[in-house]
Amino acid sequence: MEKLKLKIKSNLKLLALILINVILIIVSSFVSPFFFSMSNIRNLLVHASVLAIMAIPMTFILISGGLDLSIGSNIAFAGVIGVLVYQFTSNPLIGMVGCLAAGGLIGLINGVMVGYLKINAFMVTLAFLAIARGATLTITSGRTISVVNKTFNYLGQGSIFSIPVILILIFVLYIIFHYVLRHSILGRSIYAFGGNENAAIVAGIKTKLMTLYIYILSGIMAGLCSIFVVGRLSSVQPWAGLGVEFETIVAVVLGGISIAGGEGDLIESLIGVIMIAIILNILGLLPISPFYQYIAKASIMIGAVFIYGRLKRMQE
Amino acid sequence: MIQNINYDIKNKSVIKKEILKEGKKLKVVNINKSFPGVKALNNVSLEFKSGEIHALVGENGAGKSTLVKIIGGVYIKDNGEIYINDELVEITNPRIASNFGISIIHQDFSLIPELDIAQNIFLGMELTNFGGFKLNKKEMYKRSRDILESLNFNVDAKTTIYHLSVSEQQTIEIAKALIRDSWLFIMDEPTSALPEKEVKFLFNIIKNLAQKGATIIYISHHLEEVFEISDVVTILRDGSVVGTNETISLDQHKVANLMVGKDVNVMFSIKRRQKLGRVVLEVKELTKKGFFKNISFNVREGEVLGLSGLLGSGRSELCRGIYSLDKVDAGDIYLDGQKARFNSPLNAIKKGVLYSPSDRKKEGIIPLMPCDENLTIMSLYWISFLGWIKNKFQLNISKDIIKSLGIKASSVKQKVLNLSGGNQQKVSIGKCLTRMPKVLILDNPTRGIDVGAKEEIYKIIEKLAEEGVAIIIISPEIPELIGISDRILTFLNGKIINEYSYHEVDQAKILSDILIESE
Repeated sequence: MEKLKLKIKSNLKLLALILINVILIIVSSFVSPFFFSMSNIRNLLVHASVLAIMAIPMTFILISGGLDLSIGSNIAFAGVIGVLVYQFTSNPLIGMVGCLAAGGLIGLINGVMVGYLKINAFMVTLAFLAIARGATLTITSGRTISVVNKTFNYLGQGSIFSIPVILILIFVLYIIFHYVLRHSILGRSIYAFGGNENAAIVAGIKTKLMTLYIYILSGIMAGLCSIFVVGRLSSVQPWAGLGVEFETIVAVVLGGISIAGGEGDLIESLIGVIMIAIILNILGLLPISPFYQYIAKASIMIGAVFIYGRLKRMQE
Repeated sequence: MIQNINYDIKNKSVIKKEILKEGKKLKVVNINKSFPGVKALNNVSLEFKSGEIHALVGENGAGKSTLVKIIGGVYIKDNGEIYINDELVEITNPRIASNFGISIIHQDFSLIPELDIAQNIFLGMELTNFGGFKLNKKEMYKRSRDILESLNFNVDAKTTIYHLSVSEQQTIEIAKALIRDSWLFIMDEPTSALPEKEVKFLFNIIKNLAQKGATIIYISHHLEEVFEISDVVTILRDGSVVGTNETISLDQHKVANLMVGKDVNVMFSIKRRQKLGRVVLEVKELTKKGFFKNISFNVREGEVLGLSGLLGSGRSELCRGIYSLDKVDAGDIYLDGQKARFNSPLNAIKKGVLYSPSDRKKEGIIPLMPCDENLTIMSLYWISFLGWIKNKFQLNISKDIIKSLGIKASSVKQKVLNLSGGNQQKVSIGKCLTRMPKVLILDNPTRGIDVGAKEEIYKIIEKLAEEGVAIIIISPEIPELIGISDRILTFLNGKIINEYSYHEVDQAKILSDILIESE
């Protein structure tokens, strides 16, 4: 009983988040009768896929005290490169590898600049937000390239036992990376570095390599998203992934990950993703202009940061 | 009661510039304060007189900090009265305290490093001309100069704070308080970050201030300092006043006994081993330009080697160089007779050379992480398999260390942030002990912790030496170093001055080595 109490106390934030989600779902079902329709839920989940995937590396990077703003542009960049590789080789699998490699390359450059050259992460990834988008627009001359290929479409449109493939993939990714974060040397290094950079260095943590790894991971995940986006739309669009970095940060922050680093985990991030997905979905179902969504997202982020900040100060 | 503070008794001459409007006395009567589960102050009654340096001593948790925080308005007392010059006052927040002229001189400074002295002194209360449109710089610099002069601090008011040493910055804090009409100065461990030279400087400032009628409350762990500076000592134990006496009527032993309530050795002395083992670590001609030059020494199995020197004498930099935290320019390190090249801390750790830094908050612990993750942070390479940490290993190792070092934590999962200073220090040392190290480098392992915790750390060092670990230890407290070292090296200006074995050492020799430059 005592143990249970302690467990509840230490997971209070998580329980509160889950409770808010449940309330949101109940409210949503009242607001719109379509909310609980199978097609809407499917739509909601698929829509949240990119966010859910990108929330993984974003969580890692924020816990380490860094930031990656380049992911949205990188999704477009990786998609274009991958599709070009596919058109050149006519092999969709090589094309997909091209997506991952192109995304990973941007991540690698980010990682080297942040980890080894010690340039501020905000500056580096802001630059690559522009560079990756610029490269994409240059290569495509701003035009959409259509891609008709079953293999490419599989990730974006296919399903197993009527469960979208992408959701199964996300499920597996979350299990793997949850364990990476909690139980691997890499994960421990991330917490240590974000919690106290100097202490991590004194303790012999390979901080530069760790930084490199997480930015590469972020790039590869952007590549994975690009495969999914290309497959879903059967085309590659030069403006794909616009604003994904913003939405991801909103979701992760909503889950309770602190920008200051050192704390948080993937479960919190996932809850944040689901929460933001439900909110955006219900806003979509309401008869209001979709442009309000931007304002809503930003307000939610500011609200979450404010409330978590207050809670933290209260605890202290 | 109020002394004529414009009149310097010694010189029989009138001081030109008054720095203190008037001296006042502060009296607290029957102050009580409880925190959940702890009675922090129990009917504390004390009087702090004008012109007096009043030291508060006691172990961690004795209530010193709680008392001054109540006086400073940081905490609110449960009951009791506070009188200023026999007038009852209510101090409910720091702002009110500062309006009454009470100031706490902080350990971490509120100064802005990029601004100069006068700008900092007048920060937030700048003098202006022309109805507030123009800063009256001339007047601000003039008044700053006056106040610095009256504090006997010879420095240009246009100097940027960035260029000042820690004790000089503390002096500026005092000047800042003076211009705000403070008469009570609370100094909580002001020397904990100071090298010995600067302590002298700060003491002169404080004494001068008291002479001019200020009331000073001085908190310190260092009994030597207390005896050097204070007029009156109050000893607190478990939230109660044990006694208030004139400093001259006491000695260090008596105070220490009163603090803990039982007899203790002020100077702990560890068991010396008769025979030391073979040489484990040998350093030859190690040089880092601007920090240390041509340093050669060795350490044996089971030996405790003490390094004594002021901050900046190169002793800490040397240790960081050996551990390869910083790069060295020249020289060799031999481990077990073989030339060793540690190219990273991890490499040093793998070869059995471990280091616990002097500033635990900055480099020693990761406050948000639980105990077990902190304790195993240096050992990840061997408690893991293919990059995955074995939880059972981590749990068992952490439990072992918590038990053997006596770390008081509610569970292995408690965040280190929530531990007391002494226990945090034990975690910082404990993470070097998941495996028996060959060489253990401890930089100032007893910094800022209470007498009881210090003694426990000495015992840990003693035990490790007995088990054959070669220990290199740095400490700014010479008696402590004498008590635990088999051999002491003295450092000055990046060079080794002398070497003493424990039976030929004495404090005076060491002091003259590390303080006095010879040609």
